[in-house]
Amino acid sequence: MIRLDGLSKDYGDVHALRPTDLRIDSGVFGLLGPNGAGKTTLIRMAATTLPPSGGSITVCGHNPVQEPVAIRRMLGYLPQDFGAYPKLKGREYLEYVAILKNLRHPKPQIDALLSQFGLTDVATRRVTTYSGGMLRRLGISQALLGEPRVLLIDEPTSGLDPEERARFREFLMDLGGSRIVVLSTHFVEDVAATCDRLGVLDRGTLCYHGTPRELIERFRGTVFEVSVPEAEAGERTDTWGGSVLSTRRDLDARVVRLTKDVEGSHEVAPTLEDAYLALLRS
Amino acid sequence: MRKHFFYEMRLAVHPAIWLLPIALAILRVVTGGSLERVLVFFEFVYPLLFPIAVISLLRRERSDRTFEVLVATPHRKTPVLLARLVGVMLPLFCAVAATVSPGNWLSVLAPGVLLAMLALVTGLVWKDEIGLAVPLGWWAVSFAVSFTQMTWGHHAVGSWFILFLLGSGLSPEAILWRKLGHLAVAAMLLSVSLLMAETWPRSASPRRHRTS
Repeated sequence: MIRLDGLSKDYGDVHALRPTDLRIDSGVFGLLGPNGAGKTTLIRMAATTLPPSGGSITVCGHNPVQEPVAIRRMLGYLPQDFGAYPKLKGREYLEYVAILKNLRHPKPQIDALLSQFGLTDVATRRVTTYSGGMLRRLGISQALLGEPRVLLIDEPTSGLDPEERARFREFLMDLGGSRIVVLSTHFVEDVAATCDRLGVLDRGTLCYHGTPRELIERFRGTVFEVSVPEAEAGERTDTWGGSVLSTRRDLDARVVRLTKDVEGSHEVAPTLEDAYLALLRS
Repeated sequence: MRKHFFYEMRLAVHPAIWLLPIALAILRVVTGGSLERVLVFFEFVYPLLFPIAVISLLRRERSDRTFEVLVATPHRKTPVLLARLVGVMLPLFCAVAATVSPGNWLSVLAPGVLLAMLALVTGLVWKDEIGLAVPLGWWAVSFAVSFTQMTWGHHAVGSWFILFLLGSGLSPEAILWRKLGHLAVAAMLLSVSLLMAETWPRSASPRRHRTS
């Protein structure tokens, strides 16, 4: 279990994470929030790469400040800003990380990961020649080396094309089980598709934690949809202001989802994205 | 262990740096050892390379965005840093060895090693820019004192703080003691930096951060 008790992080006057209590059990936990919400800060504190300013955090009973090595032994970590040593080839990079993780005889595992993430053919190429998607897959491969009990993955699908994202989600769904997986993202679809539980962070504050279904239920009966002619769309959405959740084009009209019952609208079942956006607006 | 060391050596420097000692060795052979005549020049120039090389070592880890993964692994960071230091310093030592005779190695190496270790400690404690600015500042003051031949720099306690002493008029024995003193301080700074290496991640946490 990852346990946060009043955990906070300040950078001078900036409160990156306000005092937060949270329990994260086995399974895939989604950490959702807009850019600057404090997701990366929280992940980095759990990954022992950033000391907290206040409160405490324990990962499987170990404190990252007092026992960082104990946590690192069971940790797989894909940082948001992942990079690999440009001098190394894909396979060499994984070999090097395996050494840093003190793994003995890692070759079968490296072969399996390269194959699983479609990197076998490019394993002898320098990482500088990799596309963004390949680099991301290499990043998740290194995180999985040593079959870690705790997996922290920060924005893993940023920069991936739709096909790669779909493949990555499938893979994430299989990861949970007895493992603790924390997935930080600002893509609601990633969380909807893969996570058993989620936490929503906004401007350093944890404003929700629970299951995706509970979040959706919280906003049931409060989401409406209305179709407006294209010509009137701008003016009318301006009138509705902050209650507009999303807009999509439908032939010569715009379909607007909002949290207000307006003329011509009808109630709809909220999606996780509706519920997430409504939560941030509330 | 051997494989790890090999990887660290590869990551520490670009292989092209080895062209420097090779080129200097060739130059020395071609000129019949006459490079010794410009020994004072080497005493000034070489020490600049050492802190630059060390800071580039620290800086690259962040510019390549590899730092976070390195930190989050359970391997001890002290041997990682030590192996990379060896990787950076070895070609520079070889460049000195290729240029000047063994009797003068100490004169040329001591200021370089001292400035490198100072860069390492200040770079780990504060940030890379300070890590480079402090040793370069010391180099500049020493250069100015040596160039203008200020008397306090050569004949008082101050002479212990001056990096370049070959043209100072001090006796060879006095120069030797000062150079050994510089190496002793360098060894002390190296010990401090190796002790700090385990907390390298914390001390080197980026000041300009993302808060997402």
